[in-house]
Amino acid sequence: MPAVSDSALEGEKPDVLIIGGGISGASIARELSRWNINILLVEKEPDLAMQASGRNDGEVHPGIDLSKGSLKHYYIRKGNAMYGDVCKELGVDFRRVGQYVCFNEGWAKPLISLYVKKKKYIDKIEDSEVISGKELLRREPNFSGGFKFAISNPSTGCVCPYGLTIAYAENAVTNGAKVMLNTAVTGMKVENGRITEVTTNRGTVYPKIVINAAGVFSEEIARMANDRFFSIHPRRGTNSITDKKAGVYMHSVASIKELARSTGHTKGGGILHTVHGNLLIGPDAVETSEKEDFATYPESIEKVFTRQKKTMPALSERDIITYFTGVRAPTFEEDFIIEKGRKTENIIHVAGIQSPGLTTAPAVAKDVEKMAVEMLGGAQKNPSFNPVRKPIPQIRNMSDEERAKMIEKNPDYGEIVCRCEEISKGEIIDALNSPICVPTVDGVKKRVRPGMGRCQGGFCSPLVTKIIAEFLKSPLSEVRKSRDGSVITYGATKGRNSDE
Amino acid sequence: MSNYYDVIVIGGGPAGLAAAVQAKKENASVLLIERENRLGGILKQCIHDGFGLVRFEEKLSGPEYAERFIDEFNSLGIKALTLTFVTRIEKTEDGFEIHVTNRSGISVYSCNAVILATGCRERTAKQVFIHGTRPSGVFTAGTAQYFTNILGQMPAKKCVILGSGDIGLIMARRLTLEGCEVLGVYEAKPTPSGLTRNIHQCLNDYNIPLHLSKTVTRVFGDDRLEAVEISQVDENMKPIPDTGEIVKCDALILSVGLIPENELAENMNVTLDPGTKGPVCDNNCMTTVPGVFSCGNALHVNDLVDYVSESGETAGRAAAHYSKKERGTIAVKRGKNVLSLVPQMLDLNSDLGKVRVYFRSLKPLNNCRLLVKCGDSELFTKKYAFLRPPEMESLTVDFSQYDLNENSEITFEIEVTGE
Repeated sequence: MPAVSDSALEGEKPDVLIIGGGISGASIARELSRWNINILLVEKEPDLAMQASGRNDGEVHPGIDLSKGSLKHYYIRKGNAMYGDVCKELGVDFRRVGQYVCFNEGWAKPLISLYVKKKKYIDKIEDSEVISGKELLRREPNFSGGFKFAISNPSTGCVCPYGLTIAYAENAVTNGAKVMLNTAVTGMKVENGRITEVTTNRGTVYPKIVINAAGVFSEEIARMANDRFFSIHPRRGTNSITDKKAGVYMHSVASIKELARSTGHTKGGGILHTVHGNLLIGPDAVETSEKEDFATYPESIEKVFTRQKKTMPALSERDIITYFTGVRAPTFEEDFIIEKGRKTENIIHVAGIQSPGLTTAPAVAKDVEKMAVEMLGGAQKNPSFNPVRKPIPQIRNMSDEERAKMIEKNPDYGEIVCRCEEISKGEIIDALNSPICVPTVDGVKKRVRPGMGRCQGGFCSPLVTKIIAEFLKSPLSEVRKSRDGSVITYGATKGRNSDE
Repeated sequence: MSNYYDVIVIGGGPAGLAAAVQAKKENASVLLIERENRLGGILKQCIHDGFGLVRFEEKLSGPEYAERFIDEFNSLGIKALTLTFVTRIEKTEDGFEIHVTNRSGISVYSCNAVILATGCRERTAKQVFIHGTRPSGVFTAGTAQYFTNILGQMPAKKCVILGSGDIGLIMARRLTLEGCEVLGVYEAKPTPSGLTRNIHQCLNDYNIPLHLSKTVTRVFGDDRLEAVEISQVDENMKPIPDTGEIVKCDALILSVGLIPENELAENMNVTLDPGTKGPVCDNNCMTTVPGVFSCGNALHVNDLVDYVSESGETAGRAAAHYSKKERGTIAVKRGKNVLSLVPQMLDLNSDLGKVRVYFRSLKPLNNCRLLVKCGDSELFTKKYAFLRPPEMESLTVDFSQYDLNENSEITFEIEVTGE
């Protein structure tokens, strides 16, 4: 539960209340902001994308492992195809880097070729093909020479998952939606099959309809709405991130498929070259009883690295700069739930969203938009809707001329604060002035990346803390890493009698 | 050319300052580029004493030590660009182009020789494979020191220190003096990593326990750090399962190693030595790329600032006289029991009369001798009562007295003489 308790939202009557500030909630908020309706998104954490949406590998999947009949399959090709345009509109880096599923067993090539044909003609995964081991090595010279063939999925992409979530939410806010962080739903009043009241730690709100996009907690929300017909069984996964120096080893997404030891769940993990130029290795998949079990364990990393070194022998644990754990929110059926309430009529569940939920989000949001507008019984278009979000400039990626122009306008762009990622003070201040201000060290880090490099904030975290304190006009000891309890410093040393 | 200097020094810490001062004394035109807003580098936050014992035979604080060089730097009228970030260095036909960004915009400076005095960074929690949650309150010692000494802010009330490197020991004392309870210093190795004098002055004098062969394996706390798990390690420094004990604390301070910062060097294809993690250099601190020099903690991690200044001066002197003439380099190799060795090459076309050599032993050794060989023949030996990896040894060698040629290969090894 968030520490804050006030009445900031007391009495609000939004047309749509979205519960959850992950990729699902944020993308739905943005699509609904095309309409002239009152949208409120609540998120219990101090920032967006704090759970599964900020703790995954950022792969935009091709859908090669999905078959007709599931909602995952229904949305994946649509979602994947939308990525180029959506990311362009929202000013988010996206690259179609392609994926290789690599095989050591030459005897399986005819079988797998048949499988890819089936995928092509029946499941409509049309661009996938089987390539030879030699061709694979030509495209990715640092892969193991032992591979006999691979499935190439050129539609696979990579994106910064929390960057996209924040961009969606910011664009929604710019178009009139309201996003409330540190706001948790604590109960609902359901009368005659309708939700009439929703209580939060910031007051009671009276929405016309509710969208349940609460991730691992979507079953709790469904229960409060008197409409629980599914269960979530959390499954954690850990990813490692390498130094950008290792990023040059490969440029795509890769995984190894070992036919002899094929296990149940999708996840032996893979290697992915991120949009930022690091390699991301993982995730594994471990059932857990804890919905917020974000701890990492050495076994996860050892297991994943042992496996992924078979794909790329140059991979080394020594190149790791950080690792993190996310918790997936699958249902027992392992498929999405995207439907109106079964007993309660004014709720839409967007639940059971796990991999490939990031890929499907743009398409799911469009469908939920339609469902919600229909449920509201007619709405007018938002005449001032602007689909374009202007991103914060990335000084490090600019030419000298562009940089010079930026610095001339604002000298803060010439003051480099994060040496590893080359992030300027100007970018940090831009992040603090962005439509959804999250004035914490992690909030700034997620938006413009200081501290994401090889020194992991060793040099820049005190500087970023100071910039935030100056922005907030508050003492340094008031600045937090993330949540309210994540104190960074405890106030002045003995020699000082005030905080500054 | 208005933006031309004979020597450009990157980094305004003790190495860069010494290099710039020396190059200027050799009559070169010099520009120093510093990322931060003030000169002095890490010394700015090292308010404890003990600096300068070798060089000045005085016990100075970090800022005092830096001040001596900054005063000389200023009196020589050397130009410094502060709050200026080098984005890239390009090799040109005549020398180098240094591209920089600062609050006034983008500029390019050219030079005949460039000195990389970029210092080092700290190894982080994840690089030593600490697991668990990601709360606030996990700091590298240098970051905690910045908060305490530069920003005047307390980063901890009750802390555990992992690693017995010098900064960790210094911070144990510093935080104790500020009223923080330092529960103990834990070291995975069976022997301390810091200087002996720091073990006495920073831990023993304050009754702070030092626990050897123990490491932090896990951290707890969703928001601020709440506790750490300490495990015993085996002889390979791997944690022994089920030896974990939970220690409640609000901060974990890490002093688990320093890594020379050589991203600029790597981008120029300078060869790095896996032993020092700094550039392979000759006796004049010149790297494998002619005209590119390296000194201080970017060259190899030093435990005394006096040696940092010394290598800065070597680099400054050589860079000022850099004339693009062909080198005749031969390798200087690490042999048995040698952890790191600088220089890694000798330039036969330069003065080999007084070559400063720095080395560390692979492990603690008693009653041993340093054996310097050329091929199979012994050049000279030097006896040591004991050698410890945390304490870098230095010596001056007159290589000019030996008959060295391009086929010579020098090896430094350490032999235990017994008893």
